[in-house]
Amino acid sequence: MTRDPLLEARGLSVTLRSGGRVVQAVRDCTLELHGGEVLALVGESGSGKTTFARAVAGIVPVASGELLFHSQDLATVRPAVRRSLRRRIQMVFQDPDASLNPMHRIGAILAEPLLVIGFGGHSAIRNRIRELLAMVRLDASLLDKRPRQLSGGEKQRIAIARALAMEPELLIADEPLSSLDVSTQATIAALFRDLQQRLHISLLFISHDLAAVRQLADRVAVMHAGEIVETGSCGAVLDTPAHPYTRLLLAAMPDLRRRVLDVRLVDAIDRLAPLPDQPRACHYRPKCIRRAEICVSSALLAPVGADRGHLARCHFREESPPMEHG
Amino acid sequence: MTLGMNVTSPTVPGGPVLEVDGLSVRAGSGHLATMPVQDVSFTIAAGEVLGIVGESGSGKSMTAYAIGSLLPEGVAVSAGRIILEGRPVHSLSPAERRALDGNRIGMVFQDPLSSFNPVRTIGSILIESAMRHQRLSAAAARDKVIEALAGVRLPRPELLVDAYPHQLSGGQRQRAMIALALLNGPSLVVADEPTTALDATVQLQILALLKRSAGARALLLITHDLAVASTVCDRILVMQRGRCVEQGPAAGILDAPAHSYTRELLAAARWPAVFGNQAHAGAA
Amino acid sequence: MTTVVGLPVNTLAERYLARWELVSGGILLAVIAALLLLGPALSGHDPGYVDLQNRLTAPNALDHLLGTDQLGRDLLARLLHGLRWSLTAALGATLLAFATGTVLGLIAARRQSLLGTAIRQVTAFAQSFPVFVLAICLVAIVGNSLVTVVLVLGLVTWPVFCRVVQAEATSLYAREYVMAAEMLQMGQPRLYFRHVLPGLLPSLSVLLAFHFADMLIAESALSFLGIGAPLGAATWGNMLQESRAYLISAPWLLLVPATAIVTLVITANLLGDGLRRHLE
Repeated sequence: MTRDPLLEARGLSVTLRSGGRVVQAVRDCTLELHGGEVLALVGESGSGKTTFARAVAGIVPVASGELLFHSQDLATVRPAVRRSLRRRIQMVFQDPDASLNPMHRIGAILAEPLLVIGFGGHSAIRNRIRELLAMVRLDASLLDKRPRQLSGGEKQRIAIARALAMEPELLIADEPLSSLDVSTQATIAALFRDLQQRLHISLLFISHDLAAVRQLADRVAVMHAGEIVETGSCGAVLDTPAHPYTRLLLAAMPDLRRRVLDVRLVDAIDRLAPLPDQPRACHYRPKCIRRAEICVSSALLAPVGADRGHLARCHFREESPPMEHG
Repeated sequence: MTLGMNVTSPTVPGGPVLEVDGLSVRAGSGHLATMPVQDVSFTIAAGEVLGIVGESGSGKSMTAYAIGSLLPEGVAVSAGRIILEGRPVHSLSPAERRALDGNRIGMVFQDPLSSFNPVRTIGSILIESAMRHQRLSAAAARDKVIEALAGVRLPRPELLVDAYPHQLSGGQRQRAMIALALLNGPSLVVADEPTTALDATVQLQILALLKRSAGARALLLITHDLAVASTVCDRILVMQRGRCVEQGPAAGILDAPAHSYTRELLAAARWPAVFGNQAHAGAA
Repeated sequence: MTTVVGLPVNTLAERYLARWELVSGGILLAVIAALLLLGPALSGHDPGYVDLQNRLTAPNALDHLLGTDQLGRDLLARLLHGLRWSLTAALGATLLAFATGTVLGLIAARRQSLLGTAIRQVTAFAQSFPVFVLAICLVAIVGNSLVTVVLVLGLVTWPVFCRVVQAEATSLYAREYVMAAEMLQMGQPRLYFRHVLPGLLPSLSVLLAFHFADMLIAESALSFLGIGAPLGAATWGNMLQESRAYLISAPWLLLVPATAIVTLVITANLLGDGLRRHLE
């Protein structure tokens, strides 16, 4: 893909204030997303992935760095231009219960984006709503109901339909499957993939579930402590992870085929001595079993071997062997 | 591998640590009563890990609560026996049970934040337990507790003793709960969804800790996640709507499930390929 | 985890009990509203008409339903006039406090702004002020009138609304459905009227009811102390004040305004409690 990226984050940093404490939720993140691509952002709680997603969505203020959409800096364009650009970025949230206004009916929820952009008259809106419902495979009988009358899967489909109403070019999905039960997860994941391909939308998919990521994503970025520690194509990162944290994430996935608890790995981590905080050191150092003296100075994101698209932030990125699971 | 086997073992030392025979639990009374657990039987020997796997509503947690005498108001054992180290415990009064439990069963719950009293330090809860069940002085108990916290690989246990639950991370709280469960040397540890609320890497560590700590004890692990059960358990019991549908060695259950429900659970846990499996399309 | 089966609430009696506060409060409110609308005319007398021939007559069914006071003025007329005064003052003060506090609270909740921090500090400071001391000072400067009372009470008690609105709005902005609405890039008015304000409504309505009760008591206390209401005006506080000399000889002079105050406050509290229970 030699076109300019659809979305570009350059050195993005976000600070959050929580209960009097100031936390660097996102540190200097640089990421690209191209048209029609699915990029998964993976990490555990506290990694900053949700905050990054919200910064891209414009919900959370950016402390420093730039966010470019269609090569335009969202911070510096005129408000009218910014509004129209931002409408092309929509979001589906984790908790379908919380993302639909409980006091509104489904019909009103779906009509709202159309009313906001002045889509057209009553019948135009009604038709568009039917189209949207068909896209997410729901029946028009839901329109008069309120969110609490719908199941988790149905609510999430409505959330997707609402996000698609404005015909976005970028869809951000923040852990859209985590609140659903296992059988529903597969269905909604299939829906995402299907819509993404049909409508040629870019999808920024935030998740902690590597199994889902493997099924859905073209590229993966792994976050830890607010930083991107590894990025590359899905196959490269998940089959030949270069960063110790990515390796640990993959080892931690309970896998029916492996059926092995890597006790030695856990013991090795448990036995790590605590380290004093050092400002320029690698943030993963305290938990890393590969750490060495050189890690006092954090590495930059750099290519792993010949694959220019596969980057990792580790001095030892070139020495990790591929994962054993198949 | 058998389906719903009925086991009676001799209640002699060397017999199973826990024997559950035809256990049934009733909730409510009269014509509105329900049976969350129906005729469940299993045993756990010393050094063995049994996993009870099921979806929500399967009765797996109720079984654990029945064993730990933690059934809520209005819910009670209506049939069957629970025999712990040769002693029947299903018919004891709460007071008798309390006298027994500290030394015999250690329980680990899902959400340590709601299981630890937020206004008390971690240490005070453990010290109180040690003093009561091991009849130690406060100073001796404190030492024992620090040792226990170190045993679950918590950093700086001498400082953590005086910390409050909210000052610890989720994983650390869970380690503290495991320390509490193991403190008085129980012969049976019951863990109810101990890792469900935790990140994957933390889950890995907690499961490893549980497995290591089980050692010569009997460990009963309740989980909805077959993959978790497959990495830790020697034997697996599958429950559906209060009944045991299948029971046997873990490898057997996972490789060649006999019951259709077990096969369903396995299929769901394997994350069907999004492109391939369109069978559920439009159903959710 | 299974739950114990609950009994369905079926009979009329049970439904009433579940909402008894709202029902009772509602009935009382209806009575009060009727009295308010009918006004002092109901009594057939002028609240200020001094009739020294008929001083201190006990309540009787003939001429003066609730008796007369020490200047021969009809108590029922004075009561109804006082009702208008108290309700107007309390309502005015509540609305003023509500408007000021809500606007400031919304501004303070809107992201982490400097203005927001400033408002929070001012609110904390203002909330610690003793209401009466401030009221007395202000009235001493401005003079006695209904408007004075409304202004004073309203401008002194806004912090409680500001605090509640700010806290609730902050938590609302953290809700995903509000974030989803923001992502549609809609105009601010639509965001507020469709999403934010409706979300504030439950706690605000309860607060309004209780604040109203507080304002009633505050106004009575002020006029009891002779602040705010002109001397001799027919307000309940004044009536209470004037009744002190006649506690034994003419107890109805005390009982009439006292019962009225208590009834009105109970009504407001019933409605507030009922609303809160209903919205839980």
